[in-house]
Amino acid sequence: MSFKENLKSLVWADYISALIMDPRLFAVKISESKRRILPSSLMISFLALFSVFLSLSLLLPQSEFFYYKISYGLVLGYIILLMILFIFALSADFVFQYLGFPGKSGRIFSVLNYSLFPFVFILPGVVIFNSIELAPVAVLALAVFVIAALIYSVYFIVSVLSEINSAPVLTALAAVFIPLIALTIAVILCVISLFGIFYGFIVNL
Amino acid sequence: MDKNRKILVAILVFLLMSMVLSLVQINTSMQRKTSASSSNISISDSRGVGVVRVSGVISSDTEGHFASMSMHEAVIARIDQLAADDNIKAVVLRVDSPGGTVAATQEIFQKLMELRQKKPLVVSMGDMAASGGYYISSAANHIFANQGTMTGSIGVIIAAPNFKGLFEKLGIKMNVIKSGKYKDILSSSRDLSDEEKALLQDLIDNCYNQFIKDVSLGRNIPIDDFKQYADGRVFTGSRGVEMKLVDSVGTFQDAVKKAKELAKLPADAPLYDENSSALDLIFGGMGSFFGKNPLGSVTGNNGLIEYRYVP
Repeated sequence: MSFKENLKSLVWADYISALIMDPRLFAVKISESKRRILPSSLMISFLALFSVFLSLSLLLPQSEFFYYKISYGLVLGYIILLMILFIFALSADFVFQYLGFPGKSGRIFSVLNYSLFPFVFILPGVVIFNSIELAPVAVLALAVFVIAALIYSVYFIVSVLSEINSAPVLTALAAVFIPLIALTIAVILCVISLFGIFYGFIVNL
Repeated sequence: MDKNRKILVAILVFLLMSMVLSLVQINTSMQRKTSASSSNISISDSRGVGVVRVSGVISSDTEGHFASMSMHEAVIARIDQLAADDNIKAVVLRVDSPGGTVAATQEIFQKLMELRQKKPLVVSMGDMAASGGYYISSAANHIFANQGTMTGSIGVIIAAPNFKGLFEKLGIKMNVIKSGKYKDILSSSRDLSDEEKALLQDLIDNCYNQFIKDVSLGRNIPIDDFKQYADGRVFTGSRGVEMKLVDSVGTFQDAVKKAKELAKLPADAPLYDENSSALDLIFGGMGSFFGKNPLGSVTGNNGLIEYRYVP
């Protein structure tokens, strides 16, 4: 099936539908599919990041800096995001293999990209609230939505990884949270180290 | 086409539309800002009254991590914006400030005097319009204060801590190499000499004379009429009326009404207040949390000459 035929058939819509409604069905679909899911997953994460960038730009004071933010900033942000997801996928794969499951880092990486899909919905909300000048409500709603999206993303990742690896939910939870905690600690240590270096630099100026 | 698929396609179209809409919104907002700051294109839709707000310490410092310009730059930009807008027929300046640094206060005062040549300017004092806050208020055609507004404090102050005793106790000595004997005037490691005190007093007196001269100019009253009250004392809005340093006791709404009267605008003419972005509302207050020296109140103003009420 060519790309055009595939687009017209709306089979891809079933993936997104399953992505929103039923993570386990999504896992079954990607396991059965003979197509590579990486390109579409990369598109989803890019759209999510684009949506977050636009939402923040709408909420923050607008300046000419927007053009840099939405071009160079978006590319840089996307590269950083992919690097984080890649490290996360490798770590989760390591935990799965350590616990005796197949893992499949490539597939985990795609699932992580797909899991960012809920963040795409931030933008319409911000646009609506911004248009009716209810900005303080928008920020509150945005905060609640981001928390909900994060929780759904974690639920989605755990469900899909548990399904594609035929692993218990607890194992999938461990595979998600061990790298997450490790990465968080690493980021905090990096920030503290960088702060220490800059502080030392400033003090010695 | 399957019903679920149709719904999903509709959602995706909605998402794409919101992306396009947000891009248009951001672009329009930027164009409006650029136009308003660089030309006379109107920021308002119909003839009305513009509002400038001066809240907090007047300063040319860019406080906090979220501010793109200093407080006094933002006020001046707003005054320029209102001055350039042909639909703005009068301006209300809302002051809630204990004053601030000399140059920043004087720059705002000068801008307001220029604005007053073009459009009626009415001041509404909030909780406090003392020292530099009163200085800028004096540029108005009419000053309203609430009965309990704290105003006055006409004067200049400079303060710096003297840690000499502490340094001696701790055994700390400063190595100072200077090009002239006054180069480290107001140093925190030693006492002030009599000569230095006289020099600083002259500086303060000079700034004070500029203050009362400008108040006299702005209020159009002789210096002798109010000099007796210009000794740093603070007073309420109602006492200010008796001293002729305030025109009327009234609220912000009274000031808006007066501005409309002076500009011969109808009572239902619109009011164009300053807008803040959502994150400004949240992070605006954080400037004072992150940006200020927590020891500020203990250590004085670190040698800055200020038109500021410091209790």
